[in-house]
Amino acid sequence: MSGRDDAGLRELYAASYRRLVGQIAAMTGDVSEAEDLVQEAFARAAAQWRRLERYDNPEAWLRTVAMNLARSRWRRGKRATAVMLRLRASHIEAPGPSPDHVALVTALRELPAAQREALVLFHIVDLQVDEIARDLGVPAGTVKARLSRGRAALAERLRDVPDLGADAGSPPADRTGQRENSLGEVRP
Amino acid sequence: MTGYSGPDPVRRALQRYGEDLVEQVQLPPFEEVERRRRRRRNARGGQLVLALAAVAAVATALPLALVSGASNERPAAPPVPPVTVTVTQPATAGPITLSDVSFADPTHGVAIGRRCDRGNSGCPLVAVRSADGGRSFDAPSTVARGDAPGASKVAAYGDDIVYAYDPGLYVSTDGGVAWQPVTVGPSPDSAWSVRDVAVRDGTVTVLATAGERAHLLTGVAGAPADSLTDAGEVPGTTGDARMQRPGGDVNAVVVPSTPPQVELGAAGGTWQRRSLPGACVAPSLSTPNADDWWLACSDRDGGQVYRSADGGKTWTMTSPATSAGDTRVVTAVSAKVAYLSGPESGLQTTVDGGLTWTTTLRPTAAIGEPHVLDGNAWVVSGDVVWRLVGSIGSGRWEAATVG
Repeated sequence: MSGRDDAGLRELYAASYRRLVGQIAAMTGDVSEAEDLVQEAFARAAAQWRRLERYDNPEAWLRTVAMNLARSRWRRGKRATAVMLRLRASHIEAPGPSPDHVALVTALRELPAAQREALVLFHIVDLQVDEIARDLGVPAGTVKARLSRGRAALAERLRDVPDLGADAGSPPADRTGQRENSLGEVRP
Repeated sequence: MTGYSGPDPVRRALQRYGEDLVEQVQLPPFEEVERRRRRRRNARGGQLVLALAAVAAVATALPLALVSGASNERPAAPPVPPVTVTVTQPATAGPITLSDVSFADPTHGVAIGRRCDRGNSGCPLVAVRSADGGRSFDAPSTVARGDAPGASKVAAYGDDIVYAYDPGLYVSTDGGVAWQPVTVGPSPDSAWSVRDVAVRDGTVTVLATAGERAHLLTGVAGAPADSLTDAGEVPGTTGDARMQRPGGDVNAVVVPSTPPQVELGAAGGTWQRRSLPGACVAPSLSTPNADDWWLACSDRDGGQVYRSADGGKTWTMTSPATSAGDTRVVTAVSAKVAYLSGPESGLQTTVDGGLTWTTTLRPTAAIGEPHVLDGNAWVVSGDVVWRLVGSIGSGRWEAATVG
């Protein structure tokens, strides 16, 4: 690929690499792993950039590929042991020094992967419920249920953390103009 | 819980967590991406060398073991000679990397690919012909010089007509020996890029994109250059539109929108849009008959395969998620039988309507899309054309090396 041909990819790389790594790291719980996954996603994008550059949102394609790679690695179990040890380790490489932050990261890592994915895509990637449903290939109601249960589980785990426990389980508006109860049922 | 009642500290904390993670990340130089891409490409080549080494090791050790086993006395183990694998190539011509194969009938077919010659002559597009059903192939003929990117495809028709595209369009009227470029009329906004070619009933139909629009171009099969005419834009299409496979019926043009769409209609006629299941960036549709449709939807959770028994009105999922990052193409034979091919995952087969899939071919080089015709099947990988011997459910694949 010549420098002229990959100018768009280089631009996308500069603009979105760090953001993508942050998003994937929030799901995997490991920044180094996320960097590896996002690098791999960009390498695959480079191999077919002439096609991808026509897409409205190539960054979404990269995120999907990186997420799929993460799931695939978990399934294959290549790094399952290391990941599980990391997830269950008492010592955590917290992104910030705050004890609240450490508690949040720990609680997030203890959630089921599906709930963690939904929370990250909604609150960190800032996708709409419908967009998450499309990306994950599940009904919107399932996404809402995962969000609701994920938030409730987080609230339960963070109950004793001073700045995070209070009202932590109350679900915010989900950007589709609807609200949901704790079971994921939509209320007008 | 009745609803949102104030600031949500968990939400704020999650957002702050995401921001903190991004702040931790350093942007590596872009060359890291290029290096990784080259490693992936080289790894595939390395797998071939390792496979050759393994075959050579077995071929060396087996006779020794047989000699040893034939004697009643157990002799002292002879020293095992070192195995040296030397991959020799012609002095001037490099290996051919095939990308597609097409048979006009069970006997006559053409495979196409690129041969990167040593030196600075680029990687010309070359074709190899078979007149014995794919058991052997003639010496390659040059379709086009230059080093155009993109996967080349081929469509054979009748006794001697063959189209090749890469995304330029070339035609041969002598079975693939001599080739000439096919030029078409001016495009609406940018150069034509040929996506798919189908030849049926003496008419060639070309799906070509110009910018973000897809058009059908039609003409008499095998006619000389400047003979194709623009039959008009396929509505709702983008630059990623593809014809359904295997291309014999051109009435379905797939658009990888969200969700994927298929435009049903005819060149110059009216079109009807129908939504497809899934959320993928590379849908592959195959319609062996009017009712039985198959769809491979890649790049979402690794990919899924769907099947419809009512011409695409309702769909059922037929397989679990496949490996991520590998674009799959489905080539259906009937309601029960279909192939699923992916460059990295090989060739899978189902004979029970997608209930179970079996990996029937997994070569070391990237595999192409199978061509099926009257119970026969061929598929390319590296410099090999694989031919199905026997029935699809119980047959085996035999290799014919070209070049």
